Amino acid sequence: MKILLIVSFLVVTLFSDTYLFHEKRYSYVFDDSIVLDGIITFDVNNIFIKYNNSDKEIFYEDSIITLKENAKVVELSVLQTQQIKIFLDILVLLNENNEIILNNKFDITTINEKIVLVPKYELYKHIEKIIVTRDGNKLEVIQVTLLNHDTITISIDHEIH
Amino acid sequence: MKYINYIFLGLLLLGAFTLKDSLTFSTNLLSLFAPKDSVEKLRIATELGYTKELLIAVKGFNTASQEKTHTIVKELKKLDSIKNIKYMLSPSKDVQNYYNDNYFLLSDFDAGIQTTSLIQSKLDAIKQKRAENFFYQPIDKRDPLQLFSMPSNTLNISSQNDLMSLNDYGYFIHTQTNVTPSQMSEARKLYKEIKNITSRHNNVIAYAGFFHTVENSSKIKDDVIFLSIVSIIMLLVLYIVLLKNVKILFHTVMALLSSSLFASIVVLSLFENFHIISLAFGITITAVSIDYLFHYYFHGFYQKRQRIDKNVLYGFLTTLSAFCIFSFIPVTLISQISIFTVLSLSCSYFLFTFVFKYLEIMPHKLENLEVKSYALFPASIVLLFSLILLGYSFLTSSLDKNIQNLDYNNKELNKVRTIFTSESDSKLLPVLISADTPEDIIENLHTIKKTQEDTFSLASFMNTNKECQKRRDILNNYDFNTLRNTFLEEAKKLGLRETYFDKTYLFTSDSFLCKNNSFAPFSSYNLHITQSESVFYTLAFVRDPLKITKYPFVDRIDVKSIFAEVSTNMYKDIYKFALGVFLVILILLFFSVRGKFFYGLTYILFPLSITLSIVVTFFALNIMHIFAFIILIAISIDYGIYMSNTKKATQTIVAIKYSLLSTFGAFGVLILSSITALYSIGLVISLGVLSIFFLMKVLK
Repeated sequence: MKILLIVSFLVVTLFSDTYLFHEKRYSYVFDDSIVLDGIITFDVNNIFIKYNNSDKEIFYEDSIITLKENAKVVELSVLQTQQIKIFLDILVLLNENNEIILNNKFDITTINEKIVLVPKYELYKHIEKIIVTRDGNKLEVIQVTLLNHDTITISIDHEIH
Repeated sequence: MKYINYIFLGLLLLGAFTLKDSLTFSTNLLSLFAPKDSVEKLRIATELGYTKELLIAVKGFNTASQEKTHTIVKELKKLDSIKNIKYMLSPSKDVQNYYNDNYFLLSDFDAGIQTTSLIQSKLDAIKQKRAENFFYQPIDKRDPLQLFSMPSNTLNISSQNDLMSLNDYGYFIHTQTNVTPSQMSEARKLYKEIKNITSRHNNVIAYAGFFHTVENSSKIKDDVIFLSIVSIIMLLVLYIVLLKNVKILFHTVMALLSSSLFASIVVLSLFENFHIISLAFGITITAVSIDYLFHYYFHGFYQKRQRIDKNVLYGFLTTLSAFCIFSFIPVTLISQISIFTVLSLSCSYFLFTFVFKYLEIMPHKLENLEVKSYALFPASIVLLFSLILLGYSFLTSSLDKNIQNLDYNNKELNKVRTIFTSESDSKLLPVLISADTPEDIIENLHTIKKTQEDTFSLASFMNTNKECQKRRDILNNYDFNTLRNTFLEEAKKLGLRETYFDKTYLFTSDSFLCKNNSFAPFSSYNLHITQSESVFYTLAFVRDPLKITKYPFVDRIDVKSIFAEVSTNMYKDIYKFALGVFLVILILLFFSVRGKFFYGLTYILFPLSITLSIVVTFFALNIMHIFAFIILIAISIDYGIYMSNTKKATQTIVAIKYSLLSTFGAFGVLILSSITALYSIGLVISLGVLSIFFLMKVLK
């Protein structure tokens, strides 16, 4: 099983789009930010994320999240799975830029060449808005503003494969 | 007098026209089989949404399937007959508001004392985790120490990408419609609209109970047209080519029409809920009386001065007695058919015996008659053989208790239904729950939930009043003020922004109120409460309905189980009455044929045993088989009497042959039907007709 997962990660990395990214998490209550960076790989229906200086990596395919720490699969709680799934689903949708599904989930407007998405359904309880900057079809910046005034800004750098 | 047949029919038509407002019949199929109480419970269940569901599945989980799902939902929203659509896993806004309003009373609460050092260490852990967390996790403003936790709710709903899924098949859309399977025109309209939507997309399947109504009725209509054409051709060949007598055909049809009309007027005037199916079957049995006509016709009765023919009279009285006894059976369908048959056969007998004499019907030319008989076996051997076959049949027979099996076997639609039922994770069956108040309903639902944990009902979302008050007392007795003050002090020491915690553990005496919540938010899950005659009802979906029938507030409502229960008693009654009828037939046969009793009995037992043994070998006996056996016995009684008492065997045999041919033309052709109910009748009658033909050839 472990070998299969490693092979699948390798295949994903070899035949898909892999990018470097920076993530800045601003916490309103602590009034400070944490900056993280890593690699993100988008493939048809799956995502692979690995942060630098971390032993954890995540693989998401067909709604199944596989979180690994030191190459061992970590079991996630139902609540954690739901929270992570919401975030990963948004990433998949934004990467695919699927207008039908995005329009179904968000009210979308464009301000100064930036796309502003305001959630329609359950997400509105947590997320105030998402601002997306694109370079053509490619994602450049995703800024998620939460209702508790925290913000998460993900900047996707250049393609490494 | 030669117009008397027309005058009689004319008078009956006039009578029917005059009484037309008071001649009403029932079309509720359930009322024919299920007890009144079950019919009422099913009505309430339908009101609660049972049988009004429309299920749609989009194959696969790729982006194209997601898009297709969203597009179909948009199209469904435009339809008037669609009440609500559930396709996303996320609860509706109403459900979310319900959880928000009742969060603290629905959540489990850690009532342990939160000391200063404990709060300190929890806050340190929060700070530490920020850097370690793989994904961003917010701090709950109302409950940063996470003392409240909402128990996870197992809703038995699978999902993929926040959309509901039908296990591994694909995305799933569950809708509630306004249409029940009995509303034909509404069902047809919505069926067209749904097919219009699904045909525009590949790999999309849809299923609803009313699809059977629409598709089956059109297939049944095609089947009936085909059978009617075959039947008409056969009868025309019989009367025009073989008998070469169009006049007799014309008058026979008029006599049968008059008899059916007479019986219809009487039963519909006397009975409040006479069913249309009983009416249809009664009309078809009337055709049995043709054998009186053939017997008269081939024996030249209409040219004689004789008032009555004893053989026909005995045959008529024996058949009449059998149906008179069956009319007392507590099986509505058979008792109604029997009452109708008693009336229509009496009328036919009257017309063929007393009216046809005046119609100037020409006698049949006797030189055309040719009868070959091999006379191989005596009656005693045939009777013994028949009794052995009957013994075999009783030992090997099984009963088909699923009345739905009688319907047209719509293989394609059944295949789609199987996809939805086999792929579904839940496999839960509905039961009807009743109580005197809505609070008691919730109480009852929780009682069931305790016995079957995965029950899906309003209890999946709501606590009982008692449980709510217990939680309220715990929360009201907890010192949230001290907790809040200690927490804020420790948060300040850590340099956290104070305004963030404005609402942290800030409760008033009104915060924990057990409200009388509305049930409306849960309509998206097809969960409602309705009231009928001061009793409240709701549906619960359970794994094993049988296990909870011990509770007086539980009623099973799946049609299959109701029919299975009813049919067990129904078959018992049929056996009891059939035995009684058989004894009476034996006695009447004895008085009709005396010394030739066993010979006459052969004509009843041989076709019955041959047919029954073949049917039970290959099929489970259903109610339509039994109905056809009644017809078979009715005709074979007559033949037994005619053959036992005949002085002109050739004429009698020819009369029986024509009678059998017309019986086959009327009922036997049903063997070509693809509807199980009709096929069952056709099979029994065809086998019965063949065995009587065979018997006439071999009996000494």
